[in-house]
Amino acid sequence: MSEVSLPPLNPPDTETKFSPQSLARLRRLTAKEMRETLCDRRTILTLVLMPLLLYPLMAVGFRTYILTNYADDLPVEYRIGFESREEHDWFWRYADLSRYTSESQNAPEAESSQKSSDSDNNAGQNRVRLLPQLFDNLEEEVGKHTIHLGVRLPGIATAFRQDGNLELDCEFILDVNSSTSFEAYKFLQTRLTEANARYLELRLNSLGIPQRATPVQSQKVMVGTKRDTQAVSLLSVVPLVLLLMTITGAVYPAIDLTAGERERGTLEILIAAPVPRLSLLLAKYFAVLSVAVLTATVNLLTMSLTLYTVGLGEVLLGQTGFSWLLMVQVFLLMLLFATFFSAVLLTITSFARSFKEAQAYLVPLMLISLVPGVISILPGVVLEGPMTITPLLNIVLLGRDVLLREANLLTSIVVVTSTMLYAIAAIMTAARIFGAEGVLYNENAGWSDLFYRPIRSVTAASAGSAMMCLVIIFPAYYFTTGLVGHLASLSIGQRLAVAGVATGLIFGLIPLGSAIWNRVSLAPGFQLRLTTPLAFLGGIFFGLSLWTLEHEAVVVFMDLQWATISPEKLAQAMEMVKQWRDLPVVVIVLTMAIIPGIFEELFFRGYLLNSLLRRYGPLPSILASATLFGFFHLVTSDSLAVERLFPSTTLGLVLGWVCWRTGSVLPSMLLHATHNALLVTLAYYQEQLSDHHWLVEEQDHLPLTWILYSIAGIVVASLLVRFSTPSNAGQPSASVELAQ
Amino acid sequence: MIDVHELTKIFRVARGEELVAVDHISFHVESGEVYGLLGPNGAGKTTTLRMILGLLQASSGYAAIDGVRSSDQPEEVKRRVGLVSASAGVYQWLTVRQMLLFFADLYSVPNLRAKRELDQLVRTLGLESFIDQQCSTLSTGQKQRVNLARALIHNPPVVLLDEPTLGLDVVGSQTVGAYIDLLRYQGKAVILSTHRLDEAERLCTRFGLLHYGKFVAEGTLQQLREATGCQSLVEMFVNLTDLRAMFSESPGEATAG
Repeated sequence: MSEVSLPPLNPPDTETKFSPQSLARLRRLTAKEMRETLCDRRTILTLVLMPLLLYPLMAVGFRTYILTNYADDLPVEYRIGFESREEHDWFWRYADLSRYTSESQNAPEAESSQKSSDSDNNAGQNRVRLLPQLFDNLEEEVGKHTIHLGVRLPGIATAFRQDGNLELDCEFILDVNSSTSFEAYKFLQTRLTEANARYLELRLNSLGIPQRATPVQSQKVMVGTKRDTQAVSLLSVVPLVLLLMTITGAVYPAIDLTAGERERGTLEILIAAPVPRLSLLLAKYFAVLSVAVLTATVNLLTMSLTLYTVGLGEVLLGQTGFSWLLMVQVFLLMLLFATFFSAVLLTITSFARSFKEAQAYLVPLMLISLVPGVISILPGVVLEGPMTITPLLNIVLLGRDVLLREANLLTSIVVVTSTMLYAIAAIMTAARIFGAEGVLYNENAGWSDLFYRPIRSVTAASAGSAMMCLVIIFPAYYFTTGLVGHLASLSIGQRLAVAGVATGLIFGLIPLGSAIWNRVSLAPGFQLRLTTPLAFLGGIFFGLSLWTLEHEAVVVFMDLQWATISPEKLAQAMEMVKQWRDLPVVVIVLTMAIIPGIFEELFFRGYLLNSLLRRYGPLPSILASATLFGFFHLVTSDSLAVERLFPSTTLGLVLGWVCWRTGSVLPSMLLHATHNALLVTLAYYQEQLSDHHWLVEEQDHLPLTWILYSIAGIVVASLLVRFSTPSNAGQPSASVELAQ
Repeated sequence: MIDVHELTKIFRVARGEELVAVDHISFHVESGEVYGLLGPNGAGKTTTLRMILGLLQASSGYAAIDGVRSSDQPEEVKRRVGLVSASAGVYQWLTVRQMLLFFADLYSVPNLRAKRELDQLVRTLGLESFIDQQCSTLSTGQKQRVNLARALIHNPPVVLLDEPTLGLDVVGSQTVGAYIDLLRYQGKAVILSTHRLDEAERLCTRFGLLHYGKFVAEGTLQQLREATGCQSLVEMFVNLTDLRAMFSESPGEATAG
């Protein structure tokens, strides 16, 4: 064995950064977890055998349900018995039944609509196939279920009287216990009634009376696409079943890789290794996610195959049935669900110290998971408002809408975004408790680690705490802006005031609460540092210059027809700007520029970017915070404006760079407020400016000189910020803490 | 190498009460030394080891390896420590080789070096016959040997052994003894927590006797003998409850630190 050599001392946090080495190790860790999981027979059982057994069984249930509720739409065969060929031939010809015996003549759509008579008995006649057979004793054969219905014509020989009148009794022999027998009877009875009417009409006509046999004929006029609440309910069951099966697949690996690890005594040695807990947990997460996605895939394929085999696809999904595109959409939805639920499962199982305890925690979770399923089956439930951000319910409803081909893009984005954020929150929570003291060693308590507060104060929030804030802020802000939009009784001024207060409370109080709980020192934790005047000047220059490029980007989007905002929404926005003009400009600037400028920066740059910078490099941190900022502005209005994504993200990048470069959030606040103030003021005075030809129309490109001035402004701003401080952010020497 | 200074751990127990598991203990272990952390059940031995490794957060005081405190840079400390615990399990679906290489990877040991270390450990600990066997098929003794190898795969300068012979037969215990001798020979700083006092007496160079979280005696065997008047560790253990009275006022008198 080699001599002892001291490993070199690495700088703190090196391991937690996203280096290629750490990513490669994460891949190897995941591979090991996957190997452990997939070697286990129990995983294979839930992964492959469960769906193989479940769906055929479900198909039986579905088919019974369909037979009861959708008998009209399904092909059905009736075996009809006669005692003699003569009876059969006569009856078949009289009731015109030959079209129900031959394959080629089956289901003539046009004919059916043309002949479609009055009663519901006629519905679905297209799919009926009759199989006539000859027997000596019809009662006996019906009793033995050899045939569904017996037809006897006792007076067939003397049916036609000499005067041309027809008089004949027809006996139908039914099985009193068979619904199919009754269905066959109803079917033949209807055909016989039609035949009688035809015969009567012929007779009347032959006597010179042009009266039709059914003087008053009812006509059915169907409106809308054929889909009733039962169909919707049944369709809602499909995503729910798939989701439940995905959960089933993920449950066992989640328990095994967390609580099982502790039970087997490998958790301590794993935690004793110099690997961040988040990395260990992420590896487990990807393993659970992979098994969940595999389970979802197997389930989706088996279910599709089952639906196809039993012919339910068209009944449930209409003419196109289960197309490849639909399967991909459903798969993506299940992937999203697996992303979310695997994280939730890991969070819960990380608390547990044994298999038994984990199972005890998961039973209530499974029961809770059924609630959204039940809600989604209720008729009239629409995916909108708070439902779009309600975990689990939003996915089930989106799944239903995807199957119904009624999914809306904005709603889908909100569902996806909120679900991803919830997944991140769950992973962060799991990382906090996985392998923590309480779970690792304490036999009595484990939940205390969730509410663990650091003993010493820190200068930046952990990335987990900051992301957790975002997870709370996103639905809170989305919900509040939606609510404000619907407060029709309030005046525009009151609405702006409410929105301003809400922005301040949401972006101010939530991070503040998080900072206090996590003992984050407020001044460094929010980057509240005084910095040089040059930095502030740079912020103002940026704020005055950036808007032209953003405007150009939006116009280019519109030129390329990529813009998604509807003309109605645009008109609404213009109308709102008109209403602004009833208020003093200072109110607009305060509520639309200064408050968002201060509080959004307090969170996005002050708290979030700061926490990311402490853990990751400047480039990924600024990119991540800017993307989140851009995305936040994309979906937190009641309309989807893709054209806003690029400008918002670009603004986020500049704000992030300024904050990192100066080590202070204050220039970013000034930049953001100036930028917004300029935009709202331009909008406020648009009419006057246009009258003087100082402003172009919304959809027009700006004059080249304006753009050149802006670029010059941006260059000056960049230089000012670049040289405002001798060194970059995070270095207190470059700035004076406000707290001092 | 290992510095423990006024290390204290207070657990919160039911109804807001507190339990002082480790109470202001201090000691130092040099390279090439095997330090015996002895004491009855519940004395705080395992808690001390876990705090040294950074698995438990100290309520006050600190533990440092080569000047790096586990509270400040737990990952740096973990990188320098190998942990052997009686309760440590194995990954049942992996082979012994896969498991050891997996841990080498966790400790960022380059591939080639990991394989070289593995070959040496296989020879030293006699793992040849089951190196490619699935861990679920191993006997208790074999599992413990795998755990000893696992703790050394990254060639750490410090090794913490928590009851390494618990549940092992004579042959297994002898393997562990030889292993500790080897560690000392290699110049590693070792802390051994055990109930096997005869074994401790033979293997350790210095001892710390813990009782209710406090050191009641610390020093070489000779120093302990002089301080306690007992000839063997067993005798000292038996009298441990009385030791507090013997050293109540100035436990430092027996400290040879």
